Amino acid sequence: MDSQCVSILPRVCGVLLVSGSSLPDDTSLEKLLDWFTTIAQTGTSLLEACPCLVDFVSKVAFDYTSGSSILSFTLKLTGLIGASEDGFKVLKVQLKNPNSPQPGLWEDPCLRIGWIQGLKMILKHSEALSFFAQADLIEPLLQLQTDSSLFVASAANQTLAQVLVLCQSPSSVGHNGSKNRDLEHNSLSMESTQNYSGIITKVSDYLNKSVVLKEISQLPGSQQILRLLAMLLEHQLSLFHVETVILGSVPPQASDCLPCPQRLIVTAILLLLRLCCVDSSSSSAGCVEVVRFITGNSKVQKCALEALLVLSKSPGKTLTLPNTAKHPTSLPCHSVFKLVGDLTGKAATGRYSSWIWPCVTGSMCRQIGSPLSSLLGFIQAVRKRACDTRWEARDSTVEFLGHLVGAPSCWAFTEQEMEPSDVLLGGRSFTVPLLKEALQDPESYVRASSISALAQTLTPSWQDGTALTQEQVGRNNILFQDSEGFARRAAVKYFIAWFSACSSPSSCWLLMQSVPTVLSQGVADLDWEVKLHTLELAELVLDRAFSDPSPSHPYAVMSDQDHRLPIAGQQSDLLSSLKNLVDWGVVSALLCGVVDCDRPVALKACQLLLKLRGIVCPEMGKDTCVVSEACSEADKEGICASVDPECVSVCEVLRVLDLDEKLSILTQSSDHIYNSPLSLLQDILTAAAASSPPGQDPRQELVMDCY
Amino acid sequence: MPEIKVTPLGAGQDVGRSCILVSIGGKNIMLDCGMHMGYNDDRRFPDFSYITQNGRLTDFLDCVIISHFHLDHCGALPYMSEMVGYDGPIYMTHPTKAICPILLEDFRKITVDKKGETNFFTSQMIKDCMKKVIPLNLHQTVQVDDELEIKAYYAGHVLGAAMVHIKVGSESVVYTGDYNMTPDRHLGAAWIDKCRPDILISESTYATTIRDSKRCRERDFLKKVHETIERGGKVLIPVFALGRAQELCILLETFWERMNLKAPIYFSTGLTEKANHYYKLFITWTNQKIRKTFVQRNMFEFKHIKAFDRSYADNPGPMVVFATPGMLHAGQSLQIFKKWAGNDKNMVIMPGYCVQGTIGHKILNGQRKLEMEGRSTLDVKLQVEYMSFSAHADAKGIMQLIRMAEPRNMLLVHGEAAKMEFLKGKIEQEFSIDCYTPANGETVAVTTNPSVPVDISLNLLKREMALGGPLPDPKKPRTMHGTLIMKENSLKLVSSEQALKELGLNEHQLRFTCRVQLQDPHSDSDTLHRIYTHLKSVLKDYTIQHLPDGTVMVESIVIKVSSSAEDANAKVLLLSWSYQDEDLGSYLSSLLKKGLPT
Repeated sequence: MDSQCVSILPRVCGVLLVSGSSLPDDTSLEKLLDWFTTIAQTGTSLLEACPCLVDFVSKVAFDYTSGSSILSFTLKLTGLIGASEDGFKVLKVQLKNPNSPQPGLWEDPCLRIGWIQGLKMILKHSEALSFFAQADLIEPLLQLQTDSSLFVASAANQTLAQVLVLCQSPSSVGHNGSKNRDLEHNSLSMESTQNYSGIITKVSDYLNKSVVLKEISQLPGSQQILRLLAMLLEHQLSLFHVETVILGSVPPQASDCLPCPQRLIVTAILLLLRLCCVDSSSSSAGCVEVVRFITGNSKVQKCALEALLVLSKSPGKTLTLPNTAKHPTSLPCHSVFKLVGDLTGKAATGRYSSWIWPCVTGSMCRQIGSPLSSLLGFIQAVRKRACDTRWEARDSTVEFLGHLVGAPSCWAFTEQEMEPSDVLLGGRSFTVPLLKEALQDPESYVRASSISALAQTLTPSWQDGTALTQEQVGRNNILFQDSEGFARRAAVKYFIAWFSACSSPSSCWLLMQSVPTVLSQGVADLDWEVKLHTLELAELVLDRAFSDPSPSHPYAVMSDQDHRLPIAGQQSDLLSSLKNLVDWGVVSALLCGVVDCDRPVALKACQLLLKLRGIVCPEMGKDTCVVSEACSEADKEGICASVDPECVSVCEVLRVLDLDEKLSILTQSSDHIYNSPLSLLQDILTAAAASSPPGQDPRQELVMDCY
Repeated sequence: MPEIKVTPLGAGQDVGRSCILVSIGGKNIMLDCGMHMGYNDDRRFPDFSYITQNGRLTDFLDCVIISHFHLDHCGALPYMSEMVGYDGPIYMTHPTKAICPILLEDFRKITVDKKGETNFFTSQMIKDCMKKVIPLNLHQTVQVDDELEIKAYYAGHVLGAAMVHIKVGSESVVYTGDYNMTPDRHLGAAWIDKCRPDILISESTYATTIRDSKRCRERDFLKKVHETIERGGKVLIPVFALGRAQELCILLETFWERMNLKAPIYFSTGLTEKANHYYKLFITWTNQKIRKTFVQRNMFEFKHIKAFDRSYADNPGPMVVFATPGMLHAGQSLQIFKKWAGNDKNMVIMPGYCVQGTIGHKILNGQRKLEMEGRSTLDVKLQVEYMSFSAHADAKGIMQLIRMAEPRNMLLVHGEAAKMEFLKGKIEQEFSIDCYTPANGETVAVTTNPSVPVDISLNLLKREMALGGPLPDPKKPRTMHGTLIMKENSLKLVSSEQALKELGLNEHQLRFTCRVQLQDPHSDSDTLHRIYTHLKSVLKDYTIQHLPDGTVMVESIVIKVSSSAEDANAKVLLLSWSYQDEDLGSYLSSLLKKGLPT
């Protein structure tokens, strides 16, 4: 912990005692507690780290005039200190017979929340539980179960569960714990058993009054606790959570780690989808509850389809769908149509079908490859939606078309000489003109979606090396001038996709022609995410230039050791590669990026420059450094003011930039200063100093308002 | 009795993130879904797990309504809809729907830029969230479902800000969001119908303030900018891309024009063009002056304000720069601040609130030495000014709105506890209505006494008048008797005759009869006469007849006498009455059971 913070803390406590309730920012006290919690969590004793806190707590406790917010804060802090047995002992001595707070303060929910949260924190050890039992705190705790404040009632509910867990745990420790623990337990047991049974009786009485729980009272003690616990927790768990957990637990890209055979998961998901589609009347009585929850539930449908998507992407596995005839749980064709129908049927409520159904049917055909063409008027529907007056509908349609042409299962179809876009929509001749039209859409979301969809559509032709026409490149350059960030971001990604699909720069000369323009424009964009994507493209070009055989993670920083010194025969290759990089504008893009005011851009550029440094001058400062006399284009065009306009060696530039220092600064976010504990403590002190009595402050009162 | 429940998850006794749950007539509505900029973890968002135990928000909520595009009102929306999961309808006005994603995107970029946070909503999530939004028009009633309807009203404050009237059956709630009761340079004042909601949920940022004249503040601002420019200094105004930035732009533009100033004004954000585009597009949402002059000159096409390039920050000479973000915590505003902070000729004007953990917060509290990255420190020599330009209703404005809407109950949010308490007292005193100020997590339940409007037939009213009752007065409730007809969603109170006629029904007579045994040794006719005499003496104000057919009639009650077959001294009296005279009939039978006077 920062010693500066410790030295300031007593002054801050002093300020809080005087003006705690009038702090200018309502989050300060909570953030202060966050800091104390962090200290406690590291295993350090809070009292040893900040000895002034006990004094602060006792001063507040013995002060009649403490306001509710500072009292609430102190109650929580007391809980935090008392959570350790040592801290608890100190508090027990220091806080004997504190003053009762002002009458009426209990009415303030802020105080009740402080009390209940403090109590929850302190109940971590048997000492605290004994204190809890002897002071009969179970009474107010039970009262708070039905508090008028949701927050208080909820925290009280959790605290009660915690008390029951604590009552339960000594007996379980007795069976499984070590000998020492057993002895310790035995010496405590008589007293604590009485305490615990007293608590359990009161909880049972309370629950008996509020709910009819006759059968529980007849159970033996330990089972009573478990049962009570279960009751408290039961309503927290719901079917929805279970669904999400199941579906969310399907690990992406890791089918080997699946909890059970993939076939079973697929069957389960299809069963879920089927339940979403069927009428509740047709289900068996036991399932009524389940069906009621998920019939027509679009969230579950989307989750299920997403899970299928993840499974289909598992490497080395093909998604095998159970045969309809053999497996009654599989999704029959009519269910697919019903699913689509259900979603479109929501048109009765009016509004959601326009965006849900293209998404869902898109995922659907990706996964199941159902012959949707048999859906009457499907093509017409897509056409109609592509020119809907609402941008929502147009965008979803364009996204749908993108999914359709880019779907992996669609390419599986290609092998069978049957493209799904042919099956579904009459082929690319239908899709591409629609997407081209969408490039002119007045809504930037739609334009961005259409660029992404076009990239998906064109990927196969890039892969076969089919050259694009000049007109296509030109159009995308124009798109680069779009007034909206979304579209420009999509445009850079389009080039990234194009570059990734090309086997070598020579096979894509048209693309390489536009790379310098893309890089120079992209890195000077107003939108930092466009700049970041541009740097991602620069990274691809960089990797390709040096034919890096091991593509690293895009954000990974290559250490100098990762690159062996280029041996003499490779030096000329290296020089020509470097020359190419300079010509393509990669170096100038990186130099512009590294001085950018947006941290992620500067960070990415810095990482890439370090990577470049690792390749061209692996031992910076030594004579072995490869010197390139290439002139950076940025200098010529005067884009980066920070770079000397004269021709300089790349190595010299890389040396001057002090990249290692830059990287260490950039890796930390600016938050490490302004949201640090020290900053918080200073803010509390200066705020207190700035707020003079009303009327004397020449500055207008700071009023919390909207933003 | 039916009740309306209101639970703030945010903005309860604080000015943090607005998020208020309302349960009305079996419907659950979330009002605003804001974020708190003071936190860097999940605490910046409302804790949605309190809404429903099992986390299925779509099942629990009937709709979400967003009042305006400020992040403390809409910043958690993509988190809620895409990360927590909510597929139900989200309502906001057209301008809010257009501008909201710009601010969310800007905020996302700053957050990710500054901290490299990965567990944060993405551009795709913002887009998917916005696809769930249904736009609202002002004064247009939108039917959320068969029972729940909502209607938006103009709120001033920022472009597209709306108050919303939520109605289920005869119960209703109005939520103001942030509003302004005085027009400013580009927006009009808030206005609402006299809709008499059961609860008016109002913001109370300036609950205890009667704001000084806006003109004074503007003059002060212009003076400070002008002085700095005159001495060759540079002025930095950190703003969020939209909202008060446009107000200040108009202010400076007009001033520059009037004073013929030459120093450049720059607006340093890529968002400005889009923002100004929307201000032009939604010109109908601005104030009358801007709309009127729109044909000659669009106020948002600025002559003096140019787009900023970051290289301009090093230019010599005076200039004014509007830069984002508004709290000096990242991006361009912070970059420019660092460049200019060391010169005491320069000035930074903070036009809004800054949370702890930002440079803005530090300099407003008077810190003059700032620690920077790389263990360097920055000496802040430039002049630091704070001038709030946020457009909220002050105490007077809030009272004015209450007078406009005439609510039955008041509930204050979006304000500080102590100030709310003061305003609560004023409201309860002046309007004699209950005023609530729940803290976050606390539920206020207000019992409603739904009044059901009923038409009354003119005939019935005339008849009541003929009986000498007072003239009908809407302020004085009174009891009316008649037959209530419920037909085609309307309720009508008519006389029973008219009801029979309208409904095509025949009248049926219902008569009660009873036998009373009397010991009376006289002849039947004598007994009857004795009964007549007895009743005459007891019931002075009633019409009593001794009819020739051997009966006595008291109003509609018929009394006959016959001798008992078993006992010659015993008489059997037969009483019969219609149901209208049930009371009198019962009375007579018990009276006669006591026997006749000797």
